[in-house]
Amino acid sequence: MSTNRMVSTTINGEDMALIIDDRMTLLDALRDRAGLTGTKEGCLSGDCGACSVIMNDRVVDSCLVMAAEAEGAAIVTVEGLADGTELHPLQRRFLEQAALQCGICTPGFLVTAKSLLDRNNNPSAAEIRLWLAGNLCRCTGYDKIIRAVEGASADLRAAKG
Amino acid sequence: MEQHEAQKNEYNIIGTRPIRHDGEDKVTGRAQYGADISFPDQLYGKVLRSPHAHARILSIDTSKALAMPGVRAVTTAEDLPRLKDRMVAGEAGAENIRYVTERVLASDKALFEGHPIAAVAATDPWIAEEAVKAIEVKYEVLTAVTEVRDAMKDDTPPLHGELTTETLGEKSKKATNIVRHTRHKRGDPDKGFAEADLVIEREFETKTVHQGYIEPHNATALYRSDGQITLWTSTQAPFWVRRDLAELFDIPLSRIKVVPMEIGGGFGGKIAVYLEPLAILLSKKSGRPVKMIMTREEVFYASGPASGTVTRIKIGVKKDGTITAATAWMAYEAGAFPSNWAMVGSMCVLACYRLENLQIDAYDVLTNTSKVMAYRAPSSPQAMFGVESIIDEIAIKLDMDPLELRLKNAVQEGDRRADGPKFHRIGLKETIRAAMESEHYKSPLPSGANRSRGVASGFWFNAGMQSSATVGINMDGTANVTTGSVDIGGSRASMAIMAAEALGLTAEQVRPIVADTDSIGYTDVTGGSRTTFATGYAVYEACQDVIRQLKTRVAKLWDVQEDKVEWGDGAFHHVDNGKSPMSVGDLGPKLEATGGPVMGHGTVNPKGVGAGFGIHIADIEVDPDTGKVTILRYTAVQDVGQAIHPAYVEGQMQGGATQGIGWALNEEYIRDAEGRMLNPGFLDYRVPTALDVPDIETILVEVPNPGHPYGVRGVGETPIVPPMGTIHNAIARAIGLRMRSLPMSPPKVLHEILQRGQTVEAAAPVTS
Amino acid sequence: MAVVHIPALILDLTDGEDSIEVEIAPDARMTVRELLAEVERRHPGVESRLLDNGELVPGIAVFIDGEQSRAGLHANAGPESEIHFIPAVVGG
Repeated sequence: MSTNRMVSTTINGEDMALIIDDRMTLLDALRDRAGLTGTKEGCLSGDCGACSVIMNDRVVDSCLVMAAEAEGAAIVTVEGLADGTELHPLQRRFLEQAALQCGICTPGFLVTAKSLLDRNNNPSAAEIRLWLAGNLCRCTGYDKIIRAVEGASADLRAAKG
Repeated sequence: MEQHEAQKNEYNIIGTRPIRHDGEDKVTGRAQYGADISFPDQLYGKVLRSPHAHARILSIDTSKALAMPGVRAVTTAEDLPRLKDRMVAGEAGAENIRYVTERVLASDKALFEGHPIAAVAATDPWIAEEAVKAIEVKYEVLTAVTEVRDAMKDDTPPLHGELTTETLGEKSKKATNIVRHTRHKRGDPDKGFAEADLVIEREFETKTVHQGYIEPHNATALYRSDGQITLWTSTQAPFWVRRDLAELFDIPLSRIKVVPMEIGGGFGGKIAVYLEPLAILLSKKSGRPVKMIMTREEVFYASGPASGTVTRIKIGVKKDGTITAATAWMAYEAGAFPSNWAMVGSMCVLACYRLENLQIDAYDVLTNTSKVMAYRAPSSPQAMFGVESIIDEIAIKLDMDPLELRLKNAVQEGDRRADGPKFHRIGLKETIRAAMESEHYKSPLPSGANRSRGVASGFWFNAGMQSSATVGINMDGTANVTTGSVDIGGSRASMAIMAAEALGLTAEQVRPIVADTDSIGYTDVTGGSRTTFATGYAVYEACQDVIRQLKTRVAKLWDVQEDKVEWGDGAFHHVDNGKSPMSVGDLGPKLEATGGPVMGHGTVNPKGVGAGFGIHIADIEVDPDTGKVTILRYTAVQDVGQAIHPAYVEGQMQGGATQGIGWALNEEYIRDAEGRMLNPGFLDYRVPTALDVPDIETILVEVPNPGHPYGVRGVGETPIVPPMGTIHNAIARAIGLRMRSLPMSPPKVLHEILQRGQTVEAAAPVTS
Repeated sequence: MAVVHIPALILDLTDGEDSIEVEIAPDARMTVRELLAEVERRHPGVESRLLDNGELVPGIAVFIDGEQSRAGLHANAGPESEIHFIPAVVGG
């Protein structure tokens, strides 16, 4: 039977109270309750990474997290990457490098890559590939995605001076 | 980038790499894909699917499901009109509407695992799931046949009981699982083989594979009280979805509006209708919008993967490498309903080679699997895999460079395709030469044990077909370009680039729009590598229409006859240089005063399609302890015609190569004895991750297609064809094993390594 | 001479002749349907394998000089034309 409850959480820096069904995943809650449909559903089994979000500084597959677990958590989704009209360097580089074709995996890649660059501002190509290995892209062959992350990493280092 | 003898125009915008116009929405999460649309009063639909690959349906009892609180509608095959046999337009030729109906909802027999039996709409998805489980179906389980070899046997009961083999307009007397026999023949193959110094014949096998798009199928439908239907869905072909629905429901096209949402990959798999008719039936019964999304398992079970195949290829050559004859026998899994993929494969299998003597026999074969649909250069990878293997074997036996051997026999303009017609301007030879001259191919072979290099070629026809476009000039001289082609990989940017080139604008001054089926003229599928070619052609024509209209305005403004006004270099000029040139930007503000708005139309059904050829090069290493193949270096070389947006051309080549690498090394449907898929998830089906592929180097060979105003030839499909042969040949050269069954996965490679002692390569039929 | 290529599966109807030449005057045109009628006159049975109720059998297209013809049987052929009856292909 369904039980509803309220979950208080911080999404992209804003406090939110969401009424959720206990059977909901975090992915469902983000999309259907918070209206943040940038986080995508690809497999519902944690295999494709299209639903990647950052939860308390860790990348998670939001399809494998129950919505109720978001109580008190800080969550970052693709909608939270840009600063107003200023795109995150990753977003800008993805556009410049043509690192997306259909774009369905792009939010997951951006979020996962952000968590890498938050930890390591100068990853090697091999480190980028390893970190992104949980995100599937069927269109690009990954090449341009790796180039875009390398570019964003250089941008972030340059911005720090 | 290569320059070739064909004239290469100098362009201002074509060949540059502007930011795609839909990019901002796609990197910020704002783009609306099919699953992202919602209505406050929507219901959630779920499908009851057959757990059996083959079973007679004895009864369906939906009463318990209907009685559940929150359930608003249940539908079964009874709700679809029972239509008489009639051939309707389909994906790969015509198909019988009766089988389309039966595929969408089973009435008599479940013919594949996942075959829809019923669908439910409820107020939340969990109730819908529970209701699906509450539907009681009694089955009589029948023997499932999922392999083409088994299905072709004389004593295998025919799936449909009634279907006979079609042999060009003639039907067999006896019911069978062989849907169709296709043959192409030229010259005298027996004589050709007799003249050969070396003849090699081998059998090859490939397994069912899936397109593997990341976004599952989805559909949201609203059936209104006036009978008008609106459908929001992720599809490659909104106009084909509309056509299929009109046929299925036997209603006029004008009653259906298909709104194409952003699409999360398709590769040919998002053309046919699956959830769409079910959502409409449920909406009709409930009077509410109904939203349906497939799970990943449903996508694997019940969408349209690519055929598993068996092929037998025979090629004869002279000592100097000249091919004297070739034959091919091919059998393709059709799935549970007639399809035409062997027929298509028969037209690809020998496409790269100039042949006087050939015979090809191809068979489409019914199996208890979901109906096979298009997958990127459909049928060509399975067909060419075997040919490319034998060509490599020949090169080794003749001690020839494998690219030299291919160049010696390569088709060029004027040579006949295996199926008869002559090739127009094609760039296979240029592509082979570019591969031979590449830094990768000239570099030393990878050093170390169990390492080597392989090459193979690939071919796809590319398509033309119908497209519509309108171009509206804004009051400031910028432009909006509207087409009916879904943007699956950056085509908005290509349309904007071509319009900008034609109108003397920048790519950023053009807004490309993808319209729904109510809002633009008929446009065929985004597929067949036709969008940049044909829809681009329609955009070009619409721009020419704009220029014709603007010329009248300029003549009016200059108070001269129209023949005194010329268009060139992005502006109108006075033939006698009596006036300052006027650009489209200058004219925008003057439209109102000179006659009102200007809007150009372009509709095409173009000839002049340019076929695509590619060569791939791979350096690999085989781990003899595990059978795992690691790709050390990979290069894709392709004749891409004129590259409109080179970054997205490279992306097509890299993505196609990676899909082909997955097909070569890991991907396959693994089924149990009852025909049930054991690996219906990304983890076990195993599409390539970022760790499985290296950087994919690209070499764009630009041989402009004279059949297109900007030299465009399709690029998207060809690159999936060469990887299987390329990697197969590299493995053979590295460890001396020919892996003639795809995928060349670690367990299979290891098995072959362990069997090596018993495998005697020389026992293979070689004559000299 | 226009040349009508005979599909491999019905070569038994033309005694193995894989192409049939049909005379067309230099400035004249014949439709594919007319050409097929001429082939049928010489080799009875060909038409019934390529046509179903007077239309091309489903899935088969007319190619003239290497181009799929949209007009099908109504397409015009000239004295130098090459006609093939082969499957129509789309793609993924």
